[in-house]
Amino acid sequence: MLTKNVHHHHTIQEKKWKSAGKVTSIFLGAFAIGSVIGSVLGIKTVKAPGHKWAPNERLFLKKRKEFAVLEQAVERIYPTDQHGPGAIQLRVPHFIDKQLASSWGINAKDYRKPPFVNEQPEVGQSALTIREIFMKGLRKMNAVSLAMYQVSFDQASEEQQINILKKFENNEVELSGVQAGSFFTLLRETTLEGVYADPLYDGNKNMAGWKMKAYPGARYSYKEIVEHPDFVCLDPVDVTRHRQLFLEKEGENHD
Amino acid sequence: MTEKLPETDVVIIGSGWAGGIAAAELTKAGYQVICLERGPDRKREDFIASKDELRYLARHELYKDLSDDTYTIRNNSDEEAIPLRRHQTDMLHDEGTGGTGVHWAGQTDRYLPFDFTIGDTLIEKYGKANIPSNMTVQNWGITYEELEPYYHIFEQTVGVAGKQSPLGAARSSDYPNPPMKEMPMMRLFREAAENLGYHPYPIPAATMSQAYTNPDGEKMNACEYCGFCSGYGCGYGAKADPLNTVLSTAKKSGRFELKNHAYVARILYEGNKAIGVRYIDTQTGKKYEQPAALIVSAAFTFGNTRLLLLSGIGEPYHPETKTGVIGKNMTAHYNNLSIKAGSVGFFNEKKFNSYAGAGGLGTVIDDFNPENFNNENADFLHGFQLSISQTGAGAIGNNQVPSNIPSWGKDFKDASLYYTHRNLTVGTLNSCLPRDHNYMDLDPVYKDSFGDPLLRLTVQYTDQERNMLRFTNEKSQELLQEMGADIIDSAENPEDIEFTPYSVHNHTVGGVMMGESPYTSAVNNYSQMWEMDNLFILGGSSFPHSSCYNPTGTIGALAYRATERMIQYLQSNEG
Repeated sequence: MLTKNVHHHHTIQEKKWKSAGKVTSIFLGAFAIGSVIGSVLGIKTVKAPGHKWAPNERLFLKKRKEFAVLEQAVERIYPTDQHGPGAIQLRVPHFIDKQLASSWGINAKDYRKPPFVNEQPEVGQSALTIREIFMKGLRKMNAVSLAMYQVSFDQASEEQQINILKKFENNEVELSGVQAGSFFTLLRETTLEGVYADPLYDGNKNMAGWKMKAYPGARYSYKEIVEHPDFVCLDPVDVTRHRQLFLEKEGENHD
Repeated sequence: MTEKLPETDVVIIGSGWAGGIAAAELTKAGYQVICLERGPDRKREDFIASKDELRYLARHELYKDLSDDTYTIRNNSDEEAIPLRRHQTDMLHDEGTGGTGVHWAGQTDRYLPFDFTIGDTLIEKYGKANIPSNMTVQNWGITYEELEPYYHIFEQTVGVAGKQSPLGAARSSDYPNPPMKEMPMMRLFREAAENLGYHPYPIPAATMSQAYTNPDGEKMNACEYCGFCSGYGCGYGAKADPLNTVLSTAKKSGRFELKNHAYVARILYEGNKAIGVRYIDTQTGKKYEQPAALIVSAAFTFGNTRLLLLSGIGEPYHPETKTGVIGKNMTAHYNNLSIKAGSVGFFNEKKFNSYAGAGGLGTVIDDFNPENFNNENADFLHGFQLSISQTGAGAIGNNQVPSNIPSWGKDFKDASLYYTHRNLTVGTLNSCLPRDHNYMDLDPVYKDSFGDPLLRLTVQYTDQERNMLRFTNEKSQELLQEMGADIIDSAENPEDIEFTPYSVHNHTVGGVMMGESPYTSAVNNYSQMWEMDNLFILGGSSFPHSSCYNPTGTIGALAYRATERMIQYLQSNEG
């Protein structure tokens, strides 16, 4: 019964999203249900049963459902396999969340003055901020999933999720204010950044992304190995450790 | 309210290589210099433990902040230009003390004798009938022989590690330092090039192959090959940059004052004399007028051109009438034609330590430069270099897979991990010859944060560029084949390539070009404005065309030479 209601709600929400055009304050179906119950009972916090939610872990994406969609999307882009962890285990969703919360998420270094002339621009010409583009893209992923498979994106099968991502990649989905294909390129790039950036940024957990790649990170010197004829596999060093080593070597006066 | 400051001998706009060289030489000669730098201050210590690929390359830490001003872009005069809103490559210039010289790779080349007299040599080589009528090549008003001593000075200042190219321009001296070490991938390239009959040599680089003290007494450490170089500042003091060379020398004089966050909006003048500059402290919003006896603009090609257009100095180029010079002859190593247009080879049997490296570390062939390459019957003019460059491949940037593999998902992950240390790029550096339809002017729509118009870039590629790219793709693929690559892909398809926001590059030159006469050029061969003796416009903006070499060596040489005329001017002014 509840399941049926949820689906019914999704359909309504999806229509609202389509007609609302640019921005909507109403969110994913499961939340609409929660909000209704919450408002009836006077409870403000919404928590879907059975899901762990540690709010302090996240800075920008406050809603569990948004995060769940992001998790599944990045895991399909960089999946767990015989080589090692995928995007979720590497904490790529947390990395992206924090990037969206950073000045990068509001395009601080970008030229943002009007006029914005393209109607279906790429990310680089969009009037939307990076944050808005991600929110729009994730919501739309969910909406497409509901329309195609009658389940939310995070509940869809891997194959279904891949089909949806391909529709984005091939620009077969309409997002207002930005091309779906360009959003997908951004999502892919940001996912790889989360896999391979220094662990400072909360992705690449335990440097496992680097270890899969045999990438040694921020080591002090390769002077001794540059002429070596064979591949030299070295344990990775992150920036934090590099700084300690550097200061031990050259003295604190450089810090 | 604009506050008028006391007069100084010299004001320099910009603290990159060109501005830094002027600062060092003029303070050494006893003059008071104020340098106005629009970006923040930086020191070597800022780059300690900066081996952070996300921050420096993916988020463009050392590349221009576009939020206050950027460039607009279009392909022809009938189009409305759109702004470059967001960094699309790691190839834009920088703001901040030391300018782009802080994050450069250190590759320090010379242009050819052929280049300086290109108005004549191109006709001699290819015949007048084969030069398109809208190709505005012209002589620089200087010869290689006249400039050679100044190349020597710049190479000494920045401690270039290198070995004479068997095919390069004649040199009066060896490089100050021996070449950098040869990595196995460079050796593979060298041997393949030799097998094909080419003449490979190490890329001349201002990364120190050994500890070095330059003629001004500035000390640099030996390079550690750490792989965080191009796009980064060097925390080891092992890459020559303006901070550890010319700006340090200027500071030691006690006659040098650097003001950061000082954005120059106008050069002020009365008749044929520059009298000062008007600048804004971007942190307080306060406006100042700084009078000076001599003014040097060294604000990169774009900044120099725009400042002259905004100040109303020189005659703007008019594409309809082909008159005027400011903004004319803009050329570049556009990303999709040149810098990022090489071929990548995938090797099943070989693995390389790609994570190690240094900015200018690599091996190059110069067999296709216009002095060596018999392309009289080819469908393009001038030439290019091919190289393997080992700057140090980061984990985010190095996810190459063959073009038949998807760019995400299971197969991508599998292939990208497999090929991480099994891919090599043979890069190309293509010359770019000027056309009368490629130019810079002021945009009528988009403004900067202070209400001034943005610079507009109008560029359309022609068959010349596409034909050259087709040829360079072929040659880079041949080299990779000889190196034993199992799969080879070229980055760009010449058939449908065009100038886009992605193309814009920090090797953009022209706009305030030097030449033989005030009727055909903006500055003389000292980069001195023809109509304003006390105004010098330094940098790549002086170049009438872009050759197949990195520009910094020539920027440095021209700057050193220009300072001699500045000193002459100041001396005669005193008398």
